[in-house]
Amino acid sequence: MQLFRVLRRWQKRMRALVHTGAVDHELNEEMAYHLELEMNKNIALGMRPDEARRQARIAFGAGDQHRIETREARWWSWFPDLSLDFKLGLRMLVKHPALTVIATIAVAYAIAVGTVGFEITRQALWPTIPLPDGHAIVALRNWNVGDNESVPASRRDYELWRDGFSTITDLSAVDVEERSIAVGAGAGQPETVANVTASTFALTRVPALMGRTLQETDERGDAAEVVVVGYDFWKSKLDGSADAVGSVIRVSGTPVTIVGVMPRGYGFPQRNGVWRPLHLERMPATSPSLRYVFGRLARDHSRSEATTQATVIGARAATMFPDTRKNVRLQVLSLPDAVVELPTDLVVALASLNTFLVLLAALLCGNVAMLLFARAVSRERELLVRAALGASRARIILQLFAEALLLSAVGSVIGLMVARFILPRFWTMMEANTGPLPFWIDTSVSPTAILYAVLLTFFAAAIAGIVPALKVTSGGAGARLRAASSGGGGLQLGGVWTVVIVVQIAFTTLLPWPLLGLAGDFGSETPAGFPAEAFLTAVIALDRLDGVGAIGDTVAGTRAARLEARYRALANRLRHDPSVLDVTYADQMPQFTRGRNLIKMDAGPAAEQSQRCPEGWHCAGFVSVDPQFFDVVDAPVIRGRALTTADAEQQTRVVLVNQTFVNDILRGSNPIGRRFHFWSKGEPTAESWYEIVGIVPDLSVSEKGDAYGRTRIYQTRPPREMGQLRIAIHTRGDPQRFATRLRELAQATDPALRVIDPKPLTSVADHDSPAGLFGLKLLVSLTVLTLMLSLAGVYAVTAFAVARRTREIGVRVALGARPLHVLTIVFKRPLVQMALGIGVGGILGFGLANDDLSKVHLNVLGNAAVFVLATILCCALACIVPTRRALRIQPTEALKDDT
Amino acid sequence: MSQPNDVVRGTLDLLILKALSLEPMHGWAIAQRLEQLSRDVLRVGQGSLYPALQRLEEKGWVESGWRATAENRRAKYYELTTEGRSALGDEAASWHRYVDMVELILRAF
Repeated sequence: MQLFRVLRRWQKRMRALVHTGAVDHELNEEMAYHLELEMNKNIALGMRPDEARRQARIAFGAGDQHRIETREARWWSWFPDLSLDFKLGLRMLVKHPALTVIATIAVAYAIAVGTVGFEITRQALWPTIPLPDGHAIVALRNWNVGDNESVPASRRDYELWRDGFSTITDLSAVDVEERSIAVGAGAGQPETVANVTASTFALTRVPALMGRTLQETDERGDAAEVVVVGYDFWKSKLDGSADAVGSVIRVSGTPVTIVGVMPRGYGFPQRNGVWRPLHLERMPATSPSLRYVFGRLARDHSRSEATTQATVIGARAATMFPDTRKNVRLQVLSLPDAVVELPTDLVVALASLNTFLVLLAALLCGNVAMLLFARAVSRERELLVRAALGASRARIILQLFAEALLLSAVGSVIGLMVARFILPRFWTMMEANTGPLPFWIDTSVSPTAILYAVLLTFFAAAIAGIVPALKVTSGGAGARLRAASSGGGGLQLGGVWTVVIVVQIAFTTLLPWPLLGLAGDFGSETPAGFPAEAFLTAVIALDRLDGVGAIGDTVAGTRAARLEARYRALANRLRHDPSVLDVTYADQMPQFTRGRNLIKMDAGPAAEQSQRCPEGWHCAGFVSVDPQFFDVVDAPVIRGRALTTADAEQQTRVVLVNQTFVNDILRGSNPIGRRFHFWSKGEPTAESWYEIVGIVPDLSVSEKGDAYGRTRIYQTRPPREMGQLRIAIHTRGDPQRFATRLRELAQATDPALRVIDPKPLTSVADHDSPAGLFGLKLLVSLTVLTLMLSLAGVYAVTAFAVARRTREIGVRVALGARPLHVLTIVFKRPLVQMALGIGVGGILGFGLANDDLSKVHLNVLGNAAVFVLATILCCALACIVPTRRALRIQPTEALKDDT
Repeated sequence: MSQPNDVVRGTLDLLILKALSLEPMHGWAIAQRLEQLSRDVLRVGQGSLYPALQRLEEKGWVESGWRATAENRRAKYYELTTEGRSALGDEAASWHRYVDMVELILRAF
């Protein structure tokens, strides 16, 4: 009843808002009826009709006044004024297009970075699980308190938990792995596969889009091999075929039947596209094989109750199996905490990032405020006249706020579009760097983020609109009117604006420093030192044994030996292919040597230390290669001897170094026979030392790279000892064209052999990757935008200074002041502000980019100086127009302007 | 004749609520009822009723609707809502406290 009444009231209000004319007409009708009744009463009392009407009007009072008061009592009474303010605001935006464009870009920039930062933080720290009652899904984890690390669950653990928990239901075990999956006659492609118990689908409560999900009967040893595929897999690999259910694909060479297709967006637990039944009975009872065990909190039970029960069950396991579970505690985690092990300081980092972005937004809005203030000053007389005509200070502030809100709204829409563009690319970049993302990561802009953007919009409008409005309307209308009438203008850029300008310019100076760091390699052609354009590279991996064979496939060394055998067979096939000249392997290719290894040389001649390395140590990249690597890439040993197959097999501690190593670390002295050891906690033993036996040419060594990116050490190891087996195939013709053939040969060698990301060797360098390029483009865009906005700010300040002091300049010129003197007086303050900003930004940037200032090289100082000079030049550029304007002021014009 | 300002500021809303507590009525009838109840001592500027009625309606204390009068004319009738009835009690109590306080002060000398 109450609800209906409220709804009716709002219906009435909305009608009154939309049909204002009709409501006013009703008020008139109501008042007319009132007067008529009063007149009739007077007539009944014996008055003549005209007297009765007159008395009725007297009794009623001033009708127009009452009408106005009645309208003002309506809730939307402020609305027509505000809509007028918006119309005026729109007119002002159109009237000053340059300012509108710059301010809109600034707000869009602020909203875009703010929204992106917020959305990333939200998804990382407070994700929404897109499953029915997703928040009730928890994970069970064994935690070894002795080693302070998690211990994967075993089949025995799983069975113990499944039977022991009453507070957690639908317990499901999940193991995620990479496997080679082939569709039709095509070669296998690497795919993330989740081996799950059938209860997983009951846990997530998501039915299949087509066919069925996995069932308990599928887990039996004698069951047919079946698989459920995801929506994206179905669309991309099976062309969205209506006959997908029932068709057969090959997983690691084993034919399996698709029994179901999951709906779009389902990817539990790691955005994977294939689910297979987990055959628990094929797993050794105590082997730690299960990456995840999930469950759902039982109805009316909380996580703390489940944790209490987990403590009891964990203690029971520790008593029953003291050998393996003595130090192990059973924990109950939320789903996100279990799937994504976020660093503990990430919360602080993301909170800092968001604070920084809000401050950046405030700074940008401060810039817009400055521009709007400069414009408001040009409208000072108009605002004063409005004040003189009775507009209150609040009314004028509301008008300027409405203008800023309109501008912010436009900027906000653009900002959200930019955020929508950036976010998917950001998550793609994350996926490329960190592996598959959790399934709940939504690459679109969420409604919460849009709400945040709306709040930011009001925040921006408040800064950009209210701050200048307060400034413009301060000091009393009379005083301002007198000041304005005298021609000098009473408004000045005060301390707030000085801070805004200084911080803005400091930030502009600071932002490109990381860019300078990147630019060391980016854009400059790093000579490969070998015909890299003729090489195709890919990572080679081997699936675990499938089916019943999986039981015995638990020793990593055995699997590595199997991979080596497959590699040799594949290499043999490749060498017999007419398109291939040769094939080799390494754990990393020259273009992207990762890792910073600290080494200490023996007592012979050597540089004291490498640039940006801890005192007394040298930095070098360390690479494991095929003994024939340098022959295959056609970069044979320059001096000393080559590495041999015997070195690889016996794992000798002999190494090759590159020419830069000799030049930078050994100061050009003979390296053959010299020894070094890697950094270790204890004193080096006899086994710690490595001996240099030869020098090889520099491969993909940039002139601008730092020490550990330029100096290389090469040891040789057999394929089974490679942490990551990356092959390089010297092809005839375009290497990219050979990628398909490579997959076919791998498939023919072993269907379980995975060829990961085959691509030409020229495109593997980090900064050439799509993710690296995206980051760089983003940084360049931000820098350019910030610079542009700073220039606009500097322009506003200088133009303001000239406009405010037109009369003074005129008088000074009339009294014979020289142009330089005039400029010094007018631009003294803006120049000091710019110098302060550049100084602060330059010092901060330099400090951040060079953590050890005592070891800064002269060329770095030179680069920094050039950059600071470039910033000063940009600021000077923004002063050109106001300077010309100041120099052209004639005394007669200034006096004319006065009158 | 008294002017609207003669009505103690803020009491007009209370008086309207009291007038409407008996039955729904239109604006002129409310003015007449107030005159009758005060035995013609209190004369409210009749037009000032309408802003007050609008205020009360905005607060949700009064509801309005067009209906036919006994003479078959169209008129806008106002009636108290549940919240309005409750507000009348609160406002009346508040008024009594105010009057008692003033009375107390006046009797003190």
